[in-house]
Amino acid sequence: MQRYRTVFKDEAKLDIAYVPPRLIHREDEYRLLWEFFRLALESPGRMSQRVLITGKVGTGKTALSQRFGMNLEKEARKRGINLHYLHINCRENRGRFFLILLNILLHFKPNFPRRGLSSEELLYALMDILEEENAYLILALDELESLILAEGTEPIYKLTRMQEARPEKPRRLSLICILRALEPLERLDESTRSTLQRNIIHLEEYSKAQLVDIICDRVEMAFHEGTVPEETIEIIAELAEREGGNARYAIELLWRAGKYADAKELPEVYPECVRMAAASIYPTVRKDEILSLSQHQQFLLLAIARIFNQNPKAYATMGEIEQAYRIVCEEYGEKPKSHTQIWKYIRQLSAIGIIDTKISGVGQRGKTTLIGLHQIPASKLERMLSQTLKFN
Amino acid sequence: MEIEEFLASKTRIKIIKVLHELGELNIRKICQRIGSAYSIVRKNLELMEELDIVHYKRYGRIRLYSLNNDNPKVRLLTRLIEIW
Repeated sequence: MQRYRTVFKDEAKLDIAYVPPRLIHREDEYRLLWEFFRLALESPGRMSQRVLITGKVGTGKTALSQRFGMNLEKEARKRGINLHYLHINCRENRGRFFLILLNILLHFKPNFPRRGLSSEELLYALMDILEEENAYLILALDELESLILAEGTEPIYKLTRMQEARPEKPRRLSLICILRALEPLERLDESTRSTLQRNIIHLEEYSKAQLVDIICDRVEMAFHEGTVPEETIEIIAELAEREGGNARYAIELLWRAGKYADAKELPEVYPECVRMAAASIYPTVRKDEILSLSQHQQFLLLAIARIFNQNPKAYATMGEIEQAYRIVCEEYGEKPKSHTQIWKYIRQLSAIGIIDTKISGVGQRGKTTLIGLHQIPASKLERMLSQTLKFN
Repeated sequence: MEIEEFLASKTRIKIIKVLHELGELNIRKICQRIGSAYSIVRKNLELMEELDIVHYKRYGRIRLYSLNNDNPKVRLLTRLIEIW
């Protein structure tokens, strides 16, 4: 009997970081982006652009911006324009403006000192470097919510107004702000908000038919011919549609289903593989999202996971969580953070959708924040964090 | 300054090596890389600047030093380092 080694032709095409050359069902939005940035190629420096890309998880915001950025850079190179597209994820930089700016500077000057300058000075240094190198930068700030949440409106204000402080100089910095919804922008002052909201590209959730097209495209790139039957594609599209038209979920499901098929040495990715894959994915919370948290945020999350693992209740109070967090810190030999800091962590975890918070109502003495964990099983979270966190 | 005097300093040769390898560095980084004290590195950089061997760009409070590759002496020195 023939032994089927793998259904995959090129697994990398299913990687979350892979940006396909063609963005199916985002052609109009892609064209619109080109339209917004046309001047960057035709007369660089004449105008800086600000574009907002919004849409739910898995609607292609990141892929759209990255594909556009790569192609724009290529086109600029052809025309002899020193244009850089930089994609920075604000959440991965813990929403810190300083870290975001430092990463940008390190792109231009890999040995730039990591200490000694404030955010503001870094921003001035960046503008000087752009000037000196006659370079233009299109800065894509992905998951902008994290930056606004951590630092308020100041960074966006500075980024959008930087140019105004140098009226005689060419416009070298353009922005693409990527976020799920417009609500976090309400925290910005009106003038900054209006500057940003001039050009909005909103990505609608993918329909089932669109998801089918996207999955077929990836199947062609990543799998051997004839290894993914139509029914499998159909099921994946249906499940992803139920998850809010989430293409990222569809692609992860496809990859996992392929893995199950390989593990069971099946010649094809049968629908049963998809069911098994679906049972193992929690689409609303990404593992990398949890792993990129700070050590104490992970301690806090571990404490929350333990509470819900031990008690079959829907919510826990701040007090209970703080107590459990202190125990975790003691266990790992770390000094616990203050109440205010813990409160900040709770807000951050809630903002990125890992936990849910609500204010206590009737039946509870006083007013306290209640914390829930709806998106991910506590047992799985506890296991994941216990494996990640290292003892000192 | 005579060549024998210039090349008599280990610190200066190390500075040229590290700047040739990494491009641009601030004083602290140079100190870390070559394992010399700040004051010694600074003094040598000032001298090398006078001799047009290095130059710097200022970003706020930070100075990034690099080799002045327009200077034929620098080009020869780095060539020597490469083939050594």
